[in-house]
Amino acid sequence: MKVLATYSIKGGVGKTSAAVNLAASAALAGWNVLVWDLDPQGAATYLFRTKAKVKGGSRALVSQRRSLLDAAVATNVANLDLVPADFRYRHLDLQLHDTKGSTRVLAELIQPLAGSYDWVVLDCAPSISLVTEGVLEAVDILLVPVIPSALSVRTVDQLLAFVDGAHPDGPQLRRFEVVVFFSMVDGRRRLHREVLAELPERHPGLVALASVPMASIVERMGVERAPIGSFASGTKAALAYAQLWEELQGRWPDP
Amino acid sequence: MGRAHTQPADPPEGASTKPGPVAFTFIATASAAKLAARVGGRAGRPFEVERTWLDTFDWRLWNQGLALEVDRGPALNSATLRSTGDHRVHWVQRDGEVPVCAEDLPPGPWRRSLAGVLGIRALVPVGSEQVQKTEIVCADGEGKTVATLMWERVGSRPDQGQGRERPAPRPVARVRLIPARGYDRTARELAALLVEHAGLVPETAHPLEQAATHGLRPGQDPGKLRLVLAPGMRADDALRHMLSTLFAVMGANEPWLASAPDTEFLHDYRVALRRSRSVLKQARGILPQEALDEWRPALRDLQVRTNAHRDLDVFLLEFDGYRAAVPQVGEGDLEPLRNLLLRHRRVEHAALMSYLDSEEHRSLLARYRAFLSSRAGQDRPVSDGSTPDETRPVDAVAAGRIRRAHRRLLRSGAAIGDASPAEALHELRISGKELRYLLELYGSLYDRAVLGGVVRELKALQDNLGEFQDCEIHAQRLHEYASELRATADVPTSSLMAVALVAQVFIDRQAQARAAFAGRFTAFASRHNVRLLDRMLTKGGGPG
Repeated sequence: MKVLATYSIKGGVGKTSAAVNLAASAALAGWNVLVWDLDPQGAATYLFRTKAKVKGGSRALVSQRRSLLDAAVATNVANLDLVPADFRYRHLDLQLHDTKGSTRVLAELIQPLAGSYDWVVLDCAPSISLVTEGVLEAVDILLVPVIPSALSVRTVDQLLAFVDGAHPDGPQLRRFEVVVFFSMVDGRRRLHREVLAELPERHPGLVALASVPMASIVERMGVERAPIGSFASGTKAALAYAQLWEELQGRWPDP
Repeated sequence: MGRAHTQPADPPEGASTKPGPVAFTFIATASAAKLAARVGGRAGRPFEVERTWLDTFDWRLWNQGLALEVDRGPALNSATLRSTGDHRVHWVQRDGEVPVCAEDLPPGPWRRSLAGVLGIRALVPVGSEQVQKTEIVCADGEGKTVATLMWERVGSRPDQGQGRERPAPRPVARVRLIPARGYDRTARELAALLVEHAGLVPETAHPLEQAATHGLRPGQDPGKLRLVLAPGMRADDALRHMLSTLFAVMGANEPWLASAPDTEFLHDYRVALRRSRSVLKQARGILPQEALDEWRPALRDLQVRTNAHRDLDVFLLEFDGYRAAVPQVGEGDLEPLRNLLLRHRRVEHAALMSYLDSEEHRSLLARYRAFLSSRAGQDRPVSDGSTPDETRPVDAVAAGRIRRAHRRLLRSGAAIGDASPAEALHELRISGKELRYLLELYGSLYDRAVLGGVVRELKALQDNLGEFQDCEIHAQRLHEYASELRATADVPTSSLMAVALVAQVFIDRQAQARAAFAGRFTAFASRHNVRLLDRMLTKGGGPG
């Protein structure tokens, strides 16, 4: 089993779209996939047409009174289950803070899923918090969407500094891989083209080859409430997510 | 998108509200469109598929509550692993190859779900049917699928029912209710609605029970002996019944020997053959001497034809174990040996298949079948004077035969010392096998718990003797193979040395088995164990 988190400190950069579409690609390829929507806003849960509610809320999960397997529900995509978001996840930081071994709790919740799922995809809320630290303890792959702009590049630098231990609050030992991909790319903009060329040079091996274009079809997911592949499979955006998934599967062929 | 008449459950709370069994398979007379309208679902387009169920020949998936359905058709190619109880989907693979053996299983759900289940057995077709199917999606107000109804009109397949009588397929549709994870309450409510308001009739049998092919029955291992003898039964009838049952096991396995999806078809065939020989060996005075004089050598000859093939199967099955036993050997040094074994097995396989396909073998089977069927009423052959025991009750005959075999085993075992040759242990193993087969064949006459205790000690002894003998053969054959490899120009010295090292491992293991023999035999020959057997034979009493 591999655990992948779509993560960014910034909001609105395409984390949820990536989580939903990559999970759907993995499920279509025949893997058993679980998405855990960790964002109290519940966008992934909404896209999967599911009610944003977990019995007992985050407290039941953190206290391990309820397992993720109990909380998982099927989605309309074959092989793909979801642990829905719950508005009470907004208290997750506080609940973790009050729990012994707080940063290991998420990893301990996820570990028993290995007998049932091949890929677990965490859709994280945009922040750097105790939940983030818990996610970093649990993941094998941290997938970071980046809009090609100067500020976003700076964000990547900050993130790398944090996860590589340069920051005193960051993880002591990084046990996961970071993969950055460009999101919401507008090929007509010169700045986007420049950043697309610059970041891979600055961080060799960090940036995925596939990049997701700025496309209205991605926004249309909110109307269709489904992964792009199920309603617009031949579009550039759908192909970009499929290509990104192929890259990930190529690097981790045996989860 | 239609809304299900049943109100969707609160998904994450998914706890069941109604205890008790719920049907997930139904018989319907209504069309898919009418059923969809009735439950407020949305019917998709109908499509035709050829469905094949895969399992191991001994039903390892079924026994774990799993069924692997492979649907092939113009609109769909899929493999779906489901629960047999409620058809719940564990995973679906669209397109792609379906693996056969555990070592072929790709990473992911195939390997995770099946590697531990298949063991050394392969996936083979165990059922098939032609289906026109329509999916009816039941969704909640958000358009979220909460259950799926699979409306299936089933046609017959030409090979269906082969080997036993089956009812003709019914000209109505089968409906399967597929619950979605987290929506158990909805599934229960929908199941009730289907019966109470949509006129569906619950069906207790799983679809595979109708669709099984090759005379198979879900959950029943065709290689396993299921023999029930009634106390007081005539001895000749009992022995013919045993031989017929064993012949049926051979017949179930023989069609698979050519394609040989796994090695156990030949193994089970050989075990049934060996047991048949054992029955014939014990049949003096019960079955006509003329028949024994014909069938004992004939079955021995058939067994001999399979010996080399089976030895090579065992070699190859254990090959990875050899490599592990000699970690000092370089990667690839044993590959010439593996290639040689594979080459030999191809030759042996071709020779065996050629014989099984011959007129000689077909004629043998026909005559043997005729011999086995001439058993009851007016077909019973007139006694030629060689069968004074034919009318004796089987329990009396069984006790005598078992006591005799047991005494012989005790006597021969007690005579074995440190200086006894390997052949003496080999002979003892054969005597042990005969006793084991007698206990298994006549087992239904005795208390099952006591029988289990007797067989347990015997099995421990047999395992020890089997290890000794297998090591003897392996070491000997490895020396022969090494000579053969030495004569091949391009085999490096490192490979020859590797084979010699493996042979030494077997010699060491054989010595260990020899050292352990005395302890095992003492346990088997203990007063307690002898009394146990005696009490079992005296009391009889059928399965406990």
